[in-house]
Amino acid sequence: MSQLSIRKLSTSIVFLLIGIIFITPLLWMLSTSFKFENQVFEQPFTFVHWGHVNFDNYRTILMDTPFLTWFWNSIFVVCFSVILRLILSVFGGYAFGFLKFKYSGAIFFLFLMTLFVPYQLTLLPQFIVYRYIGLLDTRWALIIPNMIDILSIFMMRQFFLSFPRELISAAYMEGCGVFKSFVKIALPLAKTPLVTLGLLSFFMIWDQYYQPLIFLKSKELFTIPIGLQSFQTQFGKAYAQQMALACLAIVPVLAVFLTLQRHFIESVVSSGIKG
Amino acid sequence: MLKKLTLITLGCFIVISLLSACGKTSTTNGTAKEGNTQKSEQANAQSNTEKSDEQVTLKILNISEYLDTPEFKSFVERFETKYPNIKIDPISVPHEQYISKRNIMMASGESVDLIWGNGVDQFDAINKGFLMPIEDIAKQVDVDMTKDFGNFKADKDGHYFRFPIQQNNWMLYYNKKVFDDAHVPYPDPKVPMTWDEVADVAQKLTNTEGKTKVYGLFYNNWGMYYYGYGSQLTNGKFYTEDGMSNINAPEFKRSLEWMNDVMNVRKAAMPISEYISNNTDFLSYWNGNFGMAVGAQWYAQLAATKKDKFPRDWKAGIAPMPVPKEMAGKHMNWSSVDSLAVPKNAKHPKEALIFAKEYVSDYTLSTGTLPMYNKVNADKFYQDLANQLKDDDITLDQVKFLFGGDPNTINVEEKPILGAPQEYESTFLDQIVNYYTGKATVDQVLNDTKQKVDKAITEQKDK
Repeated sequence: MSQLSIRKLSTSIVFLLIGIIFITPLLWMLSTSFKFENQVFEQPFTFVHWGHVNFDNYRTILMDTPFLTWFWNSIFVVCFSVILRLILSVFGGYAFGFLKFKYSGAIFFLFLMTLFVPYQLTLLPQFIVYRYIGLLDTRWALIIPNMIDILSIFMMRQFFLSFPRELISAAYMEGCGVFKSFVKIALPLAKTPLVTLGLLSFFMIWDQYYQPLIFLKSKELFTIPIGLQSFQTQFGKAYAQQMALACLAIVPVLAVFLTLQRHFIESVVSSGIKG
Repeated sequence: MLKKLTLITLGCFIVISLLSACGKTSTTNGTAKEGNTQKSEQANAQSNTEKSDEQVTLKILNISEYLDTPEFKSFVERFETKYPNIKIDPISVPHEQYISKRNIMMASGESVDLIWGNGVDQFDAINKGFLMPIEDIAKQVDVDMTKDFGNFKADKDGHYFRFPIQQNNWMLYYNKKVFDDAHVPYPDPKVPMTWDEVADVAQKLTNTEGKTKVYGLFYNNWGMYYYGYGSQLTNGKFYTEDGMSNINAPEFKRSLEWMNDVMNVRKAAMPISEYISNNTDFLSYWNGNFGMAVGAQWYAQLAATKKDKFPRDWKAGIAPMPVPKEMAGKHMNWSSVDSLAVPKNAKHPKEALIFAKEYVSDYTLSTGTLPMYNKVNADKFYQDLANQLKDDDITLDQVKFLFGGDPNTINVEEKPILGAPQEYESTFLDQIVNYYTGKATVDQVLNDTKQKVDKAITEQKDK
């Protein structure tokens, strides 16, 4: 065996081991979802009790919990939030990164400063504000705070900072205004960072727990993360049922990732090359 | 220049407006003295009662496991039929984040009529000034707080803030198969074992050599499993006379050392590092690899009677909770009271207590728990439970004796609840790992805990 193939083999083994480490929690989740509660932490660990597989966890989730309502709420909130966030971020990023205007640096710095405020600190003021404007216990209480994300504006700003000015100048010369040149030239070229941003935002908002917990009251509006926590009692967790729900909840996340992963990887690679 | 001046003036105006808006609330809260507030709350409550025929909606904040059940839904239907002028608006919160949500709702001034809490939660709410005294309003709904809940005492300054739902009933659960395999006789059904006897038996039951490790004693990583023995010795004295932490008392030290002996010397309980790294859950006891576990009625309610969720090929037994040798022969219990309470900003306190009364009279039994409200007939509860446990050869007599029917039970506090209770428990649990993993001595751990908890109590008093 040549030295090159030994090196390749050892690299593959290392990557395989790393892959196993990353996939183990997912396998544990899947395995637990088919167990009874008192088998969850059994020693020694058994992946599946083939003679005693418990499908009841899935039946309970689908029949005895408002899983579909939670699922729909999560989809609704995430889709609206991501779309609105992308629109506002790309506008903001273009204004701060490409157009620039008087005091834009200072204003952007103020925006960035808000990143240093821990989210938990803002919950109480947000709660009070939403109560006064009547948004508590509505889906908008989850969508509005997700619409504007400073990190997303920052990402888009970084993209537009290195955007070739010649392209927009040419558009101006062709008679386009600021808005038209943005829509016709800048926006199509920003597709890759937007897809990446959309993907990251999707995962982030899908997992959000505190906002629905604090701002929602009606069970009909709960999202998947709150549903997951409802298997937590004061004495402990119903892990097997929780994992069954997690397995079902992960499907859209996987679907979105698998559909868009090409763009995501493209973006990472291209930013790596630029960097 | 003029532009700059205008900007500065505008900025100042916004800041002052914001500050004054915040200050308005705090001034109102700040100037009201405790006593006056309590009187005015009771007066408000009374004036509300005069309009009892009007349609009211009660906001009830409780944990999901009590509100998201079919039993609760049917209870609410029964309640709303019985009291057509009262509608129930339940706010259900998963237990883990219940306190966060409660605190935000209370601090923001959101109106809630009734909140659930265990002993620690409710005393935390009392100390934060969230709750109103209820004894006078209770009288209006025909409840005598001094008599209707057994030996339940006033919470603070002679006032009752909590409407008790249930009290934990602790006992010793054991796995008969593990006892049979080790040829050890079962514990006596009426006479409690001493903690020293428990340690001996646990050691005999332990077998960590085989494919499956069997530990003689199961414990949960909760405070009472370490300091509970000390609570029995001190009659639940977690605080000194001046309201500071008493955790460094010799009785608590003895309690912690007993657990260390079982866990690290006799190796009859899972080492704490293994317990934490395995993410061991309190329901893990029901996987059959443990001989004994001290647990409350919730073990029966959640696992022993739920064989569809916790299938097992072994029989469970129950016996009285172990006691220190000084208390040999006495039936003791760690008492922790779950309760409902009326926040100060409740809009309908009287209706809230009408609901609380129905909750303990009608709903609590259906959760598999005996309410403390002594006007409830408990016979059916005992009989149903005995029927559910008959496969384990557990008799009605045993059920009555251990699940709240023994009037001679000596109750001591399960955990510290008075001063800074949440900080007390979390600090203790943070520190205790150092002792059981050999990183610190028991004296260091107890002194460090006392120091930190005293600081938290002092800060709380200063607020």
